[in-house]
Amino acid sequence: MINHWMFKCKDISHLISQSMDKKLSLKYRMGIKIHLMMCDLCARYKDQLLLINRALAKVDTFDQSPDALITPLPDHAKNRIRKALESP
Amino acid sequence: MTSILKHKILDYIRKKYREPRFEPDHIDLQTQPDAFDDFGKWKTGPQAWASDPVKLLEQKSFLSVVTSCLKDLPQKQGQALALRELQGETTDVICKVLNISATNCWVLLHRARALMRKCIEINWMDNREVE
Repeated sequence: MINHWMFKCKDISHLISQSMDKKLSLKYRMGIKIHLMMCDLCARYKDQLLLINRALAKVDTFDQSPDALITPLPDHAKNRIRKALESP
Repeated sequence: MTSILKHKILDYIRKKYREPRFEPDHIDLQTQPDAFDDFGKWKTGPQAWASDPVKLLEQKSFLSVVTSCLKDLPQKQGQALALRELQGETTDVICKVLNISATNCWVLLHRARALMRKCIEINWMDNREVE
């Protein structure tokens, strides 16, 4: 029974990430909770990932638009060239 | 018996052809294997970044480390993470945009976050102002 709830740090790091993208089943939610109570390093890992998410949300407003990362370069470059050609 | 074998072989061939196509930057992603020992425990573990980590969000130097780390991620990881955290897209949408399976999507995001964290740790610990 105990083993059923026990995960390794390696698994927990993966589960923490997944928990940010979808609702995990009770087994995994409990597994994370129990593990984090005993493991300071994984707790810190989770806090840091949350901090990164918050930082990324800020970066979005203070830096370039994320489109630069998403649009494939050829289109992007094409548009830029087109604009450059159109401007006097 | 032979049909089992036939299917096994077919599965293998399918897998072989599918994998490189769905995850081209697979080799690049293997940057984390040394974070854990053979028992799945942290080797050194995440370092504390600051006494009050939330204050880091106010520091331009920290945010610029975050930005450059995002840009340094392998392309697909960076795209997945940007779609998720900058655009707030669901993993369903990310799967479609990047043309990958749902499992691959979670793996990609997990690796992107792990790498981001590592990158920030390395660059921030070296350059942070003394508190």
